[in-house]
Amino acid sequence: MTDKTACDRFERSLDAYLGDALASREREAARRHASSCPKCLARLTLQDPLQIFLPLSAETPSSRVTDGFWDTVRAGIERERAAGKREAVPMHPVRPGRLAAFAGRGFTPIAIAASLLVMVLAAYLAAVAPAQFAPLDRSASRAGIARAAAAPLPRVSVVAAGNPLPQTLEHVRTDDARDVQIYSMTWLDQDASSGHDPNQVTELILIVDAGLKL
Amino acid sequence: MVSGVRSRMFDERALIRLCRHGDQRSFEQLVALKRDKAIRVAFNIVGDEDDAKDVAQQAFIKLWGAIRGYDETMRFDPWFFKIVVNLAIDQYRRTQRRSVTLAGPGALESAESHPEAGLSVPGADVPLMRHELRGIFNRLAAGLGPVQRAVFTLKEIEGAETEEIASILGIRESTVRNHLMQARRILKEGLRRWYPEYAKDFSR
Repeated sequence: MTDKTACDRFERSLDAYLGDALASREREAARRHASSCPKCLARLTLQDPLQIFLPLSAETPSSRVTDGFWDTVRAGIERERAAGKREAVPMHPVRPGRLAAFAGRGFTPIAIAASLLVMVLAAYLAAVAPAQFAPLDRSASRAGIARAAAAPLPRVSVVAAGNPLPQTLEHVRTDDARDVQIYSMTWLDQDASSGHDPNQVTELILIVDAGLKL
Repeated sequence: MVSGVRSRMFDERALIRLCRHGDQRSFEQLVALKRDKAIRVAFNIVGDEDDAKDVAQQAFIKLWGAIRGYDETMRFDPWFFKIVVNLAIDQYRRTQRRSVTLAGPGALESAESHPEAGLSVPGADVPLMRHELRGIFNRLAAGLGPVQRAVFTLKEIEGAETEEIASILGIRESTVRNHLMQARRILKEGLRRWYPEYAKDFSR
């Protein structure tokens, strides 16, 4: 497709673009074209001056910013790991300011009441519920291990320092009451000569007795 | 034959899956894949390149801690950029407080102090124009609140859908539209006042 064709196509879709009436794929194509074509950008800004900032969408950071970027991230990850902080971040992170505002609006009594309710519920479950969580059937069978292997992902991940292979480890008690460890190694096979799909993610699962260490 | 885009998406999914299993090498590749956009979005919100770098790095560190909990049926970018944008907004709030304390309000200076004012856009070389626009945007956007700035960045610069922005910021779509309207009004006024050569028409 020539540039002129792209410009013509952009001109035809200009009104729909400005009216936010394009499908997302067409909209993205129009944005990409206008951000790199001064002529079409000028045409666009005559209708909406703020579209002048569209080329910022193609801006790339300077090497001053990108140099050593990963090293700092990796160091931060190591720091977090050393501090034992690999916990999930909430989808809607709550800022301290919001919490303070929440408490400041008189919600503290509600929070105390909710805590008490949780404690009472926990005490009830401790007294009554164990019968509902009795040990699994002790009849020995290989199916028990197979069932353990079918436990849903993701499992707890443990990556040994300096070890290039990702290892996933889970401790499972099988139907026949055996403690087993499940190790999972996952990798992307990008060796074209292997005859595999180069994008195929391969996972190997090993199941061993809990006392055995790999 | 798999198209380039589809292949890239597949690679990204595979990478994310490996990251969720704790593979730090894959995470390094994921960082390389998302780094530029993360810095760019953060830069448009915080207005300072070094702060943007800090924000993006913090976001990736948080991502490493959170990626195991990522639901692979959801789109990754909105989920990740929620972390970036919220960190950037917090950073911008801190910077605003600092600049108000040190220099007082009134971030916009006179047009005479902007050597790039007066350059024309049509026909200009795009990379050069981008450099000029960066300076203009930073000055004008200093008049926006952090959420207005984030909404404008995501909608008008990154091309995100209103629904996606609402999800990233944890606000309603109608609130996104209000913030966008206010941001556009402030930026248009600034453009008309300080850079009239860029503002030919204000009928919209």
